[in-house]
Amino acid sequence: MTPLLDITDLSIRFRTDDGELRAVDGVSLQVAEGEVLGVVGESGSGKSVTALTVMGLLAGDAAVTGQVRYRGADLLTMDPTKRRALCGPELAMVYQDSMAVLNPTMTVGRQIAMVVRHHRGGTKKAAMERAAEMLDLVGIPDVRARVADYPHQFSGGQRQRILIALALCCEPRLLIADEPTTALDVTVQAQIVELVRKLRSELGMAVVWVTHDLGVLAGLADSVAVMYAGRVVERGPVDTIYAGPRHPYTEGLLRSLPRLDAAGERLTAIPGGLPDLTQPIPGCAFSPRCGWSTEHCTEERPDLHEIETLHASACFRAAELPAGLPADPDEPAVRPVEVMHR
Amino acid sequence: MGHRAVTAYVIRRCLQAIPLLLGISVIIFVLLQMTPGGPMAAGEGAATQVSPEQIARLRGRYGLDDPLVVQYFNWLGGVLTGDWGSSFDTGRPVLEAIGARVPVTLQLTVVALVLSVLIAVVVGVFAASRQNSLVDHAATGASFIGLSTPSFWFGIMLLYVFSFQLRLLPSSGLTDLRARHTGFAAVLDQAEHLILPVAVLSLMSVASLTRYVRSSMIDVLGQDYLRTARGSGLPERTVVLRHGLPNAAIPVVTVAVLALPELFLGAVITETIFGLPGMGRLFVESADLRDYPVLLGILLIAAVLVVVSNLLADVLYGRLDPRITYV
Repeated sequence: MTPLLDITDLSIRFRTDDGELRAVDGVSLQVAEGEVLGVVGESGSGKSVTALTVMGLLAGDAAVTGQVRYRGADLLTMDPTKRRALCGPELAMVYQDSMAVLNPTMTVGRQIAMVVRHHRGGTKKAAMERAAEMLDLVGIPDVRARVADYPHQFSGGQRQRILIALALCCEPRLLIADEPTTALDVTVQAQIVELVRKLRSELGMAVVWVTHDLGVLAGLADSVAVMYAGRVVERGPVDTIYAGPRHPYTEGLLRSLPRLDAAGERLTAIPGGLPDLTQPIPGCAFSPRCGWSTEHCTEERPDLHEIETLHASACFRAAELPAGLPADPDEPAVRPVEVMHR
Repeated sequence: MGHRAVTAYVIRRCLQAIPLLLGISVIIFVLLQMTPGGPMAAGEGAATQVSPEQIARLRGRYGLDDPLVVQYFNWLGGVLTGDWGSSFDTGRPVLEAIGARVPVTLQLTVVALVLSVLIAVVVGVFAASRQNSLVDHAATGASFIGLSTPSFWFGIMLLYVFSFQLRLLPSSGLTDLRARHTGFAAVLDQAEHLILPVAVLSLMSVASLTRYVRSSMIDVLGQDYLRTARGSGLPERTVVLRHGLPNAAIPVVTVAVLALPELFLGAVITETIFGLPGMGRLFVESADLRDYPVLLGILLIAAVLVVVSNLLADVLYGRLDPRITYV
């Protein structure tokens, strides 16, 4: 079966003052109908840029190569008008809330109704009904009165729900959620995740959930793709990856998560930061931060390879990972940092 | 936003305007007195047959020999009771003299403002949505030229080309004095007479408003909510016009409304070039004669217009932007 979304060898480059920046470098991802794929990585790993590219919303001056097939048709070579028409009923995106993501001078009801009416036709009144229905569905209280309110009259969590209502109003087949819970406090975050999970099972849509928080994905995603410096470094079913990460970066991300069953322990952060993406990286981009790194890692770039069914890693030492790092007092795999468990 | 809040806001702003207008009245009164010459300057010249006694009698009649403070309060008292004095020149009451000239100026400025806004929005939005294209550069260049062209020169050039060379449009006045038009023909005739004056008067405001619309629109086009609208599958036209324009309009409306007193001022030059019987020309004529009551009347009306435009701009701002509350 052809996947719903099939990204092959996607590269995205931006011209900057420091030279060409490779934001995304040969990424391949597949999402099946109804599947929930989590895309994880820290800021600058290329995950949001990838999401925007699928939606066709990337700012003009990026050089994009590769293929982004949606139900077999390549979005990158498609006529822009046709592609735009897919947004809404086929592809939809939930953006991270900020004051500027919703139009500040239009009531939220109208913003949703406008999209409904464009894609489905019908009367203004019917579109407004649908908008109210969607806002009710995502849990906005007192919908009748609040459809006529402006974005600034809602709380951050409510605005995030409104953005979800806007994305879902035309029942898309694929929902791309770009850090929709990042700005929210933990209880609201859990509510939003629960909401998307519920709506997903009701509507049967596929979801790409972009986040830097592996924890959010645990109960939500079917599979996970971990991105680092514009490349996918590990991918596989969510349980497999949580139980046995096969890339030191994934392992580091998991270690940096607070755990309820290990309260009081120190959290470990991955030392260092992302490499300069305007400079060529001959070997593995993670090697400067990696405790497993060998000379080989700095000379040759490891490609993503399958280590077991459906589970792939871009690490030369993927097979050794489950056994743990051999004790080496000079080079600890992870260094404890002063972050107390919350 | 309740109507009550808006009403309360407007009332409070009007009250605040009272001391401001009083201050302005003092300044214009004093400044006029400080200008060299005076209403009797022509009579005081050597080659006239007006005797010094006659001049003294006239000065006494108009109260010009009273102390300045007395003159000011006499005038202010009159203004507040509806008697703005009489023209030194014609003896007509000031309000009547101005009232007779207002319709022409009003017509000129309102037409110029509406036209400026229309052209600026169309050109500005078009240029912004095709930023750095040929059209955009052409629009930016044209508005730059428009801003730097003196209106008296532009007016004379238009007269030269359209009236004297091409003989397409009338050169002066508001109506064709040789033909007595009635009904629709009269309207057409007047419209024909207004084309060149409106073009001259709008030049500056079109140019500056176009730049405002363009930069405001470019700013809005980069906002995340336009990306949201695009990502919802709305066509670009809808995105720009329905989501973008209302937001881009907010700062532009302020500038456009504040252009009203500027246009009013511009009418002084335009009406003089094209011989239109408006308030602007009345001002120039009265200035020549040092006709203090008329000058004061026009200046005071201009001051009120500035205050009212500011208030209007603020109220409109609040109506367009739901995030603004009147405090």
